[in-house]
Amino acid sequence: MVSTGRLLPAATLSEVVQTALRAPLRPPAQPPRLRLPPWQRGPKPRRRTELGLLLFGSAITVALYTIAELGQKSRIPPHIFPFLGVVVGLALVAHITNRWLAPNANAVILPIAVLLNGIGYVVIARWHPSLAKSQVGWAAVGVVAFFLTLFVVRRSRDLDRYRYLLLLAAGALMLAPLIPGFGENINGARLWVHVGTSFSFQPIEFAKILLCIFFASYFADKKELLSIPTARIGNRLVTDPRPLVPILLAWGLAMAIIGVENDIGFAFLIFTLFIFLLYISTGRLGYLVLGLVLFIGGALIAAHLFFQVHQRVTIWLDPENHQSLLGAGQLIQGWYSFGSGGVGGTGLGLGVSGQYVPNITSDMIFAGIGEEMGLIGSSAVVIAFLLLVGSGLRIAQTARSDFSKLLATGLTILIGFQAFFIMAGVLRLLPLTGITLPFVAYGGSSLVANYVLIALLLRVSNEGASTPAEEATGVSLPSDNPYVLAP
Amino acid sequence: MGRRIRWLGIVLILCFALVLIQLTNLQFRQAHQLASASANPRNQAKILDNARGDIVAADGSILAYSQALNIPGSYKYQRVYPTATARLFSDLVGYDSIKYGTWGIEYQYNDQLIAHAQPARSLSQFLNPTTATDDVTLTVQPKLQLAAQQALAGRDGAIVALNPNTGAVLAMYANPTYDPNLLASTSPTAQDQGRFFAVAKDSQGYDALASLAYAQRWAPGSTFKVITTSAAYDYAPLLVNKSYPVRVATPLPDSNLLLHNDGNTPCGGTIAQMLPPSCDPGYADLGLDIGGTNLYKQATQFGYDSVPPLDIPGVVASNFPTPAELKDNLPGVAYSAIGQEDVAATALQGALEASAIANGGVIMTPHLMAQIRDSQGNLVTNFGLKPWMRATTQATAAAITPLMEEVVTSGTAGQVGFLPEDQVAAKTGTAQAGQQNQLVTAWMIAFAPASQPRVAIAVVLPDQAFDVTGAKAAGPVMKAMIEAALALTGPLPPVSPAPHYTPPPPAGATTTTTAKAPGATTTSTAAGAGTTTTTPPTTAPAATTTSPPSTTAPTTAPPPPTT
Repeated sequence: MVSTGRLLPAATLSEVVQTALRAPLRPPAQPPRLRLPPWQRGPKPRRRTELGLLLFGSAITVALYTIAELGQKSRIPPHIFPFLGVVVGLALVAHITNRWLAPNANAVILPIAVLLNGIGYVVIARWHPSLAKSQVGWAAVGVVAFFLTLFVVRRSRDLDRYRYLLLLAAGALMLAPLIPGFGENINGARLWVHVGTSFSFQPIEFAKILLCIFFASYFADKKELLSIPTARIGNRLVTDPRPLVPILLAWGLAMAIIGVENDIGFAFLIFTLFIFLLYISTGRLGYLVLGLVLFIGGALIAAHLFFQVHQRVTIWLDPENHQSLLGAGQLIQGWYSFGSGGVGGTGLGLGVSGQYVPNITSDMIFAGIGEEMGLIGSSAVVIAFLLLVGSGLRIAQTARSDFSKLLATGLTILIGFQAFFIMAGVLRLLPLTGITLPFVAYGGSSLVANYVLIALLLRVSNEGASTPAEEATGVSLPSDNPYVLAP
Repeated sequence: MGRRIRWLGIVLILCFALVLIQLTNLQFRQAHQLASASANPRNQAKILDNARGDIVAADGSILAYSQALNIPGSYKYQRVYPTATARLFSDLVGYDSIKYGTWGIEYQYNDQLIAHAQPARSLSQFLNPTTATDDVTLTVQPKLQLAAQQALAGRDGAIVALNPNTGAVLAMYANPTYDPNLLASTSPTAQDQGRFFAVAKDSQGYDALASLAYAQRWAPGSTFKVITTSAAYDYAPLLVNKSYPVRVATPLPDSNLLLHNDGNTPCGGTIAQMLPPSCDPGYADLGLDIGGTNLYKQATQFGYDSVPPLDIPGVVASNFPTPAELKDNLPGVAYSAIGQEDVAATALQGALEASAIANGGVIMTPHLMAQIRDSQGNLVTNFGLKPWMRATTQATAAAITPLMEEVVTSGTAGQVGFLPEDQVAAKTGTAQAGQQNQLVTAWMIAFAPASQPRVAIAVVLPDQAFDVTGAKAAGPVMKAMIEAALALTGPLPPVSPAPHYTPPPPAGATTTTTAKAPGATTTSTAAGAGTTTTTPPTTAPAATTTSPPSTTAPTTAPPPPTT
């Protein structure tokens, strides 16, 4: 077990501020020398698996694209070979990135992400060809971000060092949409940022990752304090509440900002992340129970207090009789899409969801998949996410430090619960919240952020994986990543 | 920490399992329900694409068609019933209304009229099924329909004319009528208005939707004596030549009632003497001799107490009291024998009775649809020859025909002025109606020519003044109809005996006769006969009927081409 932080329990708000202020001011001890990581020689069996899966996923994407065009226009898509080139090219760039920067990382995550991205592209292209063009661009940016993340973050513990800086960045990102003239209201939620005239993005998508890093780092650092009773009330020992203060403050700030920006989906997501990481790091069920109570209480109060929350709950429970309310129509139409798809679906290019279901390429994209690919296709998407979540948690289990364990867990929670919340929302298991279906739904910020997210997961995976050398000798090396430390 | 991560994994698996369960629920368990829900816009889109085929009369005139609208976001077509024939055919064609659904032929053949999947003729059609509408051609002759409208001259009443050999409805007209164009409007208020007019009661308490031709019943009066007579022939042959005393009235058993003859003229004798003058006391006695059970049997053989299988919605059954109801009610038996008391018949039933006698005792299935053609003009189906009921024996029908001719030559219809060359066989009816029997329902059923019947007609005029008789009110109407019908169908078809009734052959044998080229050949599947009949040459391609040789039964001539 590696503990990187201090053992003293003196974490206070001033520490947060001081660290944040101090960090950029401190002059570097010595100018960093740019040194490229070496190309690891020798066989990389995981990468070979990954390559095979990537090519298989690309073939599926191209096949679906062709089927959609056949269904819609009864012709082979005219640009099928350039399309094939782009799909395989992007996959190969990510794959070579892995070969170079994370050669022993998990082999399943990248192919699943690329496959989901491909399915999403096909569905978007089928309804909004113009959006699809920019989605390709965003996918390319995402792959570049994937590369940059793995290139910059050589060791997961680098992130641990800059936890307060990252928190500050997260705060700035979350506050950005509130700046007048900079932020923008879309569908009643203020979570967009405008840069220039044509470019806008959703900073919360990136903030969620930064918050996750901060939570993981902080909980890894303070888990003893949070779990072992040290304070005394009367003759009973209870856990010292003081270490909770900054974390609650950070969380409360996040919730407040989200509340002001009216983004219920991310509020749920960050809350879930926070509660689960707290429980996993401390092992105290009390936190989970407390979180659940807080959540239910908060939800009840919010439902009465905030008009938008109340409205969402109302249309969730009974959309048929509240068709005048915003968002009721898409829930009703979403169900009809699923029902009309049936088991086999109408076939790609033959559905009509786009005419009736609002936001078919973003919030409701799952309904479009359900109609055209049927129960078989929608289940395949769910199972793809399940595999992604399984791989993420497996990475967490093999990670070699508390921080990286919690980081991998947190990232998995983000992607897993984000997918669950939106799918359950479309299916009316939960109130619909306007978060994206990772990799599938249209949205540049979401796509790029999620590529960054899996890059971080792969970074942790690469560190936790047993290297071929270890597998040969049976001896586990203690370091984070043997080849980085090698001279 | 590892154990707790595993717990998180279980939580996430449960979450995704919930999603999978709900997906299965929506896409498998409730899929059909959701897909066919009326609020599902996929179905509404189908409704908006309301293309329908044409409804065409026997002479080729179009009775209903769909006109393209070209209004974005609205219905693609407007159903149009040409004004010249809209009211004339409203009882038959019905309507296609957004709000009130379909009625009439529009209802009956909705599945063929709307766009529906076409059978694949090639691999690409199999992979990508096409939809198209079919056109329905009716057996109804607009000229005869118009003659019926003119003969009624606006009075409430109904006229049904059948081809007794095939069951084809040649005309079916009843007042009041309604305008289906209002109901077919895309404007909801116009539809409401159209519906209001269609169900509004007129001064005699009738509305247009409950057609007087097939959805209203009145006591058939003396026209029922045709059935009583055939009951005597079929069930009590000894009574045929029994002579009943000549008298003005007959006392009814189990009561102190006297049944008077119409006009209090004395009458009596055998059936042959009683039917032409329509002797009420004699037929009451005859009915009592035949008995309620036999009368009931004979009435049901003629179609009473079952809904005639006319291919249109809203047809009601005519009523004859059951043996149980008549068992201890001998006056009721007497009154039923002359078509009074609880006996009630539709105009359609009257026409079926006439066609039974005209067609050698067999009632052919009455039908409005002649054939259905697809949008390319290929024959999809035609109605074919389908017997409905064996009403009476051929011998009985042959025996009753001259009696009905006598009704015209020397009986109650003698003053109507039927042309002798038309050889009309008829029976009048003057049924008492109203609260205090202050009104009469004027009936007349007839077929012509008696030697080779080509048309069987029923005329009913309800709620006439008390001094009116069936012959006086319905007679001129019947005369006009017979003359119009015989003028219409042209020269007599070659003589061939009426078809012999056979039980319906196995399913599929009689239902559809197909033609390889439209109108070229038709194959009759009625019981085979050794004769080959050819219709007289016309401008249309001659329809030849070839039947396999057989020794048992004669065959019928096919209906003359109606184009």
